[in-house]
Amino acid sequence: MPKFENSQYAKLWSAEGRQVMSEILSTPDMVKLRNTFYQTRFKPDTMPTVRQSDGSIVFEAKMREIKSGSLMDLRAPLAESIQGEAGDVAVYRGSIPDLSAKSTTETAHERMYKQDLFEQFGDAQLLANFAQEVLQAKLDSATQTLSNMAAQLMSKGEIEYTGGSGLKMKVIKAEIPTWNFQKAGVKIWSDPTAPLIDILVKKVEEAKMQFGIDVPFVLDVTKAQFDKYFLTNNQVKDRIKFVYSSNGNNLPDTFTPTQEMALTTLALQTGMPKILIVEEAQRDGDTIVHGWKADNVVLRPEGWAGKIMYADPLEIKAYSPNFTPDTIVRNFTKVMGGLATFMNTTKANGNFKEWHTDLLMAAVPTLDEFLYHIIIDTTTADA
Amino acid sequence: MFQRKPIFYGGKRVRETSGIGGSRNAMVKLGGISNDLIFPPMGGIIKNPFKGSAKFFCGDLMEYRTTEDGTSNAEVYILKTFKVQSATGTTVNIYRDGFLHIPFVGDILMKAPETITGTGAGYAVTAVEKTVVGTIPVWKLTLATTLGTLKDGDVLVEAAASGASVKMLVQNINACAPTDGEFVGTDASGVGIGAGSDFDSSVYTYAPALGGLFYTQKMSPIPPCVEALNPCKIKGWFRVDYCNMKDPVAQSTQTGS
Repeated sequence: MPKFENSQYAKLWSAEGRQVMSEILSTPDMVKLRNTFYQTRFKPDTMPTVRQSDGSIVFEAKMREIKSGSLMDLRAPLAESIQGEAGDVAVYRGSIPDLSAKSTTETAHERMYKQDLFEQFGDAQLLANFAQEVLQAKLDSATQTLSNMAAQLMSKGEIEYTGGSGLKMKVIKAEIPTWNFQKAGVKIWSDPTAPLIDILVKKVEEAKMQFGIDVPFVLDVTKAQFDKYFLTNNQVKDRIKFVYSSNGNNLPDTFTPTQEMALTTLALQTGMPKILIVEEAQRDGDTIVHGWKADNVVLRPEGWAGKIMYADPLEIKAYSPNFTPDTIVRNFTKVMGGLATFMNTTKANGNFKEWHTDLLMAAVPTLDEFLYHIIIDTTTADA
Repeated sequence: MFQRKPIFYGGKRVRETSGIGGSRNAMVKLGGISNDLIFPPMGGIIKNPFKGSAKFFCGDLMEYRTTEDGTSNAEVYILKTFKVQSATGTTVNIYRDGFLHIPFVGDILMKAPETITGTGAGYAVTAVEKTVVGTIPVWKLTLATTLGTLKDGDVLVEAAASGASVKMLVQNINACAPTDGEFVGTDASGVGIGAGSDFDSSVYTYAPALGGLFYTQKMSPIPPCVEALNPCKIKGWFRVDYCNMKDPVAQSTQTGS
């Protein structure tokens, strides 16, 4: 009969626990990454940011501002030309916040119970329960947190963290120029008579002139916004009818288009940005929250919106075996490509031992295209 | 505030003196296994950081102020204390050396009251000057209004507000600093969230230790009303006992913001 102390489950909290943790974390049947909206728009920075000794973890987001040329100056021969201006590099710096998921504590009495279970059901069951109930929930916390922050940053240009049960504070603000905060256009978007396609085509043209770039643009809208604005819009429906009837399919006078019909039709309109549907929702205690600001949509250059900046939690350094007593044993396992770190701790509590599992993260999304990132308030028409 | 390297195509003469290494330990060294370096969940936002380049020290007393649920959006307050050397009218001289708290313009100070929940006159510092009285280095403070009669050895603390009859800012001493900490920010300190908060000013988050045993002689000056909260029965030692240090009157009158 194998002994519980030699089981994979017991090893999770030993100094060699990282290996067992890594195996579980890389097995898709045991844990998955869910709520991965942040992965669709942001990719992790290539290296972690270094934590400074004064407590700050400072990242820098930079963009070269292109000052596109304007019309030439008419002059007399031999006259000097007028000095022009060169664009600078726009920079914004911010701090990476520290976060933790809710911790899990296992007391010695619970462990005694598990030892009895082990003798009945074996190691695999214990590991599966641990993966599902302890690790999965924490991973979900981390991915939801990053997705919430990513949605806030994209739709508002700033992150104000009010979720969870810890500190609440304004985290970062991207240096998006004032021109980029725009109103809905000639009519608000919930008005079915608003010429949505014309409004968007015009906004893209103006953006290209303003920024001096000629790249494809995309429009990030939530599913709710797409259904509410585009699927009820007269101009969009007319175009859908035209496209379908020119293919020989006559649609009735009144119909509700599907998302697919609308997307394929809109993709055919010259000058329209490609539409990307945003799907994100997070659980905060008992309520469902959305990081995306409900009134806003985002118009930006195609491609990644930015990066996830991250740093190692201070615990990895402060709680290394060099500084901690032998009576407390910890191991650290990185997860999510290094963005977060699991910490398993064995410590004493009076006459007994106690086992903790924590997920620690110091990460924040940041925009790489902030000079070209346009946020449109769909509920306020142009003056 | 971020440490940008300034650019100046001229010369700058600098002189500084310092020592490196050595230690001055405020903690009482006992054998056996101690359990003081325990930190609360989440920590808190420091609501009264120093307004410029200054330090708090190992052994400094703090308040970890929570709301009803015991953890969300907690606040940390440093008990800053300043020992009076002499005073006349609105001019107060505070002892100055490398191991004492530094006062700044804008700090609202009062003489520590007789009891922890007592009141006194508290007014803002309008000027701070580095000077000496005879051979004694002092900070010469100018206050908006006189704090009353002060003598050598009186301890000033931060007041909760400005006025003739105000309470101490930090009453519920329940945590302490296990190490020194340095502030270098000269910008306004943010409050985190809500009214007065923004994205640009510094916000300091900190997890204080919930336990500690220190030599009172090595700590920052302790006013008598704080010494009265000391549960330690050994003279010259100050005990912060985790979750135990509490004046029941202070606890009921202090509210988390």
